Order: sequence, then C-alpha cells, then structure tokens
Amino acid sequence: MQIKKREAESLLFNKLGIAPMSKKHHIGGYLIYKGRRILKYHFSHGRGDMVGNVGDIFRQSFLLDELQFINLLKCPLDKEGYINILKEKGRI
Amino acid sequence: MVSRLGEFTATNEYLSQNRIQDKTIYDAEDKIDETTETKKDSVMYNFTVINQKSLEYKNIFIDSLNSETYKLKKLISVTIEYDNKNYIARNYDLGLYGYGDTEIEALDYLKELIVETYEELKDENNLSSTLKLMMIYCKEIIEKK
Repeated sequence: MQIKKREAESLLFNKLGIAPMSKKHHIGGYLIYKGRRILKYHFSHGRGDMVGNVGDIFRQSFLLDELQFINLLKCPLDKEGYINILKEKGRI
Repeated sequence: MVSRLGEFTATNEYLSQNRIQDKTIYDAEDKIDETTETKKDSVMYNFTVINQKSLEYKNIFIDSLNSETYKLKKLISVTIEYDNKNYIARNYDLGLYGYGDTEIEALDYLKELIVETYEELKDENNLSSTLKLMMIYCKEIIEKK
C-alpha cells in the first residue's frame, strides 16, 4: 500500500486533529479522546511517500483494515466514525 | 564476549529455521572482534552475512538505545525486514517500528521512537489499554543511566 506523505500529514494533523510532535527521524503524535491518549502514529520526516510494506505498517497502526483506512484517508470515514470503530474493537 | 557468541548461535538457529537462502556466515570470533571495534551497540547483525536479494527477515537483539539518559536493562528483540524499498526495524512487544534506507537508519529511528515514547508516557496515567501495555513493557526494559 502506498501512502503519500501529504495525505498522511493531512489525515493526522487535520482530520484527526493530532498535535504534531517532531523528532530527528520522524513526526507523529497521539490520538487523544476525552483526555486519554489512545494510539500513537508516526512517519519519517525525510523519506517522502510511504511505499512498500511501510504503508501497510502505518495503516496497521490505525487498527484499520485496508478498506477502512482508505475510507479514512479519502474522506467517507470521519474522525467520529473512526473513534466508533476503535470503540467496537475495545481500544477505547 | 560469551553472551555474544550465544547470540550468534541464536541467529544461526533462527536462520536455519527460516527461508533465507544463500547465507554465508563468517567465522564467529573474527566477526565478534570486528564488530566490537566498529559498532559498540549492534548485536548480531554484523555476524550474519546474507545475500541481499534473498534477505527477507532477520531477528537481531539490541543492547542500547543511543540515548544519553536511558539504557536497556536487557536485550530486546528486533526484526529487520527488507521489502526492496525500505529497511524496517520492528519490535513486536512494543508495537513500534522504524524504517530507512539502511538497517542502521531503521534501527536509529526505532530506538529514538522507543525513548521518546517512554519519556512521553512514563508519568502519564490516562492511557488506553494499548498504551498501558506498551508502558508496562517499557518499564521492564528501560532504566535511567
């Protein structure tokens, strides 16, 4: 699965409202729900788009299958819907 | 030195159980000397020389976090994966990964992420079950220098 860096940034920092935390190798942050840190996401600063297995591993960090993740990335699934999926999975 | 020889044996066994082909393993003692001189914190991956084309996965153990503040209490297992585009270093116990153009880059990314996650979450009480489990394991393996 290939994920454009721009799409990942937009997903994390705009759609999910995650506060970005930047380090030497990566940028990322935590999904926070009702004051509780739920999951951590991150990707590399300098390597551009996520290609090969990295895209899949990034997707797995959202605990979503491929279809759900594409829906989250491309819009039909909003933050509330994503939170509901995590609730169903018992992660919230 | 003794423990590194033990780790070499572990790698050898791991390789023999997996589908990695065309492997050539150098003499253990020579490689240990070389490794000790050149890379103080890499354990094992210099011991195993594998034809790049057939490399898919290998398990290594790391003994440091490249941190001035924190160190590992014990060796932790890291799987290095190469997918023809990236080297990916993953620790399945923590559920964390790093990636890069080289194994070292991927490992540095992972180590930085482990330290960062530990620093951010060690005093945090309001965590999801996933992050709580991650912190329990972090506290088992990380301590201040």
